[in-house]
Amino acid sequence: MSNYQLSLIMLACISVISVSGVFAMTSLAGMFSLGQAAYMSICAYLTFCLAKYLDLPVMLTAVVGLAASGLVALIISLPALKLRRDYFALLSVGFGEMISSIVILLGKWTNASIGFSRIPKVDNLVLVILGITALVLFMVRNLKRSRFGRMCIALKTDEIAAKSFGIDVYRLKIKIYVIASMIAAVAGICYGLRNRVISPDAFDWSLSAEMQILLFFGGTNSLTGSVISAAALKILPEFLKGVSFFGVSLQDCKTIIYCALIIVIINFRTKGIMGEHELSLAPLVKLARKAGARRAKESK
Amino acid sequence: MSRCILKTEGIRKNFGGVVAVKDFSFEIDEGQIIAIIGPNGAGKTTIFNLVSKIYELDAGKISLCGADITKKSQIEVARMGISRTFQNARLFTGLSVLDNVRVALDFAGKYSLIEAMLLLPRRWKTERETTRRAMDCLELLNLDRYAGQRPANLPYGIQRRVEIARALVSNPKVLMLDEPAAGLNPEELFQLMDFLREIRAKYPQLAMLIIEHRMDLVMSISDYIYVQDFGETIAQGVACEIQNDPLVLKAYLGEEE
Amino acid sequence: MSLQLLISGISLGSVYALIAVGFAIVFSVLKFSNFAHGGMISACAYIGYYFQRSFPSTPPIYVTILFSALCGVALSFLVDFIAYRRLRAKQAPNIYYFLASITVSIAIVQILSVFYGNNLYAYPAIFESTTFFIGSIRFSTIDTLILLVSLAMLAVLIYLIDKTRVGLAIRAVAINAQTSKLMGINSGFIIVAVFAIAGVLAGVSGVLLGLKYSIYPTLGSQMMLKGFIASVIGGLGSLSGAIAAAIILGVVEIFLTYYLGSLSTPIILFGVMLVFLAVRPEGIAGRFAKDKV
Repeated sequence: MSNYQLSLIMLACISVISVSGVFAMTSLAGMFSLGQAAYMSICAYLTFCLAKYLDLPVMLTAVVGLAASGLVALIISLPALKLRRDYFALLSVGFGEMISSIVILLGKWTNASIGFSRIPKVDNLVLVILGITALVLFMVRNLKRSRFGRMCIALKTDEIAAKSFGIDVYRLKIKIYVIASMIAAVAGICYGLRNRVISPDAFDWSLSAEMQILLFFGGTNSLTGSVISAAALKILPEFLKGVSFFGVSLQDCKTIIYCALIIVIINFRTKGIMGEHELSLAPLVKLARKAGARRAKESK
Repeated sequence: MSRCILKTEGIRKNFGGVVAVKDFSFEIDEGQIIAIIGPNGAGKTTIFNLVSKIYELDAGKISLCGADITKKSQIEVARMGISRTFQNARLFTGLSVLDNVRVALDFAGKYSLIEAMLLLPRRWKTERETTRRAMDCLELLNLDRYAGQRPANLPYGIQRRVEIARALVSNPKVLMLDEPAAGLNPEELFQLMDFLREIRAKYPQLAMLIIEHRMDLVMSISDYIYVQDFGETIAQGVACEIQNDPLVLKAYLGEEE
Repeated sequence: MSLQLLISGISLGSVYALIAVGFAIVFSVLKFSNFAHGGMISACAYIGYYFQRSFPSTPPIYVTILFSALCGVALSFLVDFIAYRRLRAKQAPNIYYFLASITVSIAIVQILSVFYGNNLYAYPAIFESTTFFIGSIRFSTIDTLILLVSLAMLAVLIYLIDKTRVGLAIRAVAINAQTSKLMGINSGFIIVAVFAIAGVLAGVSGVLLGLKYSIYPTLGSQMMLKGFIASVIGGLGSLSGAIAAAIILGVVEIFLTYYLGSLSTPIILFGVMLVFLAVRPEGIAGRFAKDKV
């Protein structure tokens, strides 16, 4: 495959990782955040700056970065998750702004708005990122199918009723928020490794908003739906390069087009394209089994 | 002599200037079924909300098995074994019937978030156990064939039963049913009475507290009855005493005179 | 020096107050955070800019403000028509309004940046000198103008809410929409009124921000964040609380920026807000910012 195709695959993978984190947070626990890109930023900067300035292996600093993102998420969520959902969301925008300001403030190390580009090259990066994506998806899927997934959906539907079944809503939300933020952090590392440059502008609130949009597009409660939409909608604009319409390049307009689509979906198909349905191989397996059984019968 | 499970002493709740519950005292023993009846707005559901700590008490004391639980939170009270249904079947619409029942066991699930995400052995073991208990409970209420369905697609009578299953599955000490018969047709009501008897046979220790309008259900199943009106207890006793109490007839059955 | 900073801070704070009120009034009636407000402010700032530039001689500033306010109202209705109307009819859950409003806001910002780029534009100078003196104290002309316009707007608004029948109806719907409906208040009309007020406020604050800063597509969203902080600190749905908090915020911000630089300011402001919310989630005015039972 050409480098360009590989790079597209990685782009899609990163989008899938970050959206699956948002899936855990929004679709399961009903929290809406516009600050998830900030965790990408925290983790990416920590990982690569530490690797550069302390001369440590990226594997090690990545762990530090992940742990730090989790810790920040914990500290933020303790007061913030006591608030109404939309206040929490708006607070998260402020959080994102704060993180970009910190990055610029530490310009001596982070190279401020110009971007930090001394990121080590990793061999077979595509395979690494594909592996990470698979692992993250596996974990989020298991999360959904576990007692935590059930409790999350319960608290999202009805907090009072959830509490009366012994579910500690506040603590559960914090746990999920921390996990979701760490998944975003993983996406941040992958982003850095792919692009070889990170800048505060790359992680502003519009990236966080994009994750939410991709999620809702695919289906509010469907992991497979949001994964497909995360990959497809992220890659699609790459094919629009050079196509222009009334003198405006379509690629520039991609966000506008997505926004229009989202407005249409929210208004006319509230639950997203896939709604709550998950794609699975089960029907195929069933069909194959049936065919097998029939053949067995016929051969008798 | 059976043991006293739940006891309230003079619990009170005001909303603004309105006294919703005025000094309500009662006790319920192991295996007993107690009904609270009274016209609309008599403060019956408020009593449930006070006992399950959705509302804070303004005065009074609640104890469970002799331990004072007045200061406990809603979550703690639920975990200690006070379980309830809601007046308008607040099932979790995003979950299947089976999951609605399983989720009531989940707070005590024996595996961590990490184990869940990596599918470690304890997750499998706990999930099997949870599923088995939930299915047993669904079978008891004859709901097993609906396990995979979403509650919103089921008739209301079935939804109410799923709610009872959800409240029952964690093997609580006290089960509070808020108008379990509301909105049921006569046949469903008949079934409900059967199920309540089966529950009683299967869980002989369980104390049940029922709010109900339907006198036929109340009279046939309860061991003791409290009659509430305007937040106050106007009568209490066994079924035949209540049926003949003039105050009750006036407040509750007034129209039928 | 500090007196000038104070005036500049109050002037900035009064613009934040306009934004916070525009944000809070939609919240109080429709119970969702109208993120689109930020996008509308940006759009109005651009409208004002092009209006001023489109005449051979720059029109007086009050004409521009008036024009921008009218455009704000039209825009506000348009947003409601496109994004919220059907959700209201469906009685969709809160989160969908919220998502719709964010989407609208992003769309506006993107449209602006596609058509006008991310360059900064400065409004043409409207005064011959940037400062004037009263006695020996120097005042910034723009700051003073902004302060006067904002205070006038706020005064009109408070009169409208407190003293008129429409204001009374808005307050009634804010407290309890269902009861007010039963009492014969036309909720459709109230919603129109609220969006109109929000539109006027977006129009005015857009032009004022344009005069103070250069304009760029995300100007409105950034400033709305400040308005939001003010409305949270002020207390949910409380207009007077929001105004007070906005002015305090403006003053604190100007002083912080002066002494610590513009980069540390958002960090400190966010930190303060987080601590404030941890200690007093109901805001200054004491209403709950928690989810309702």
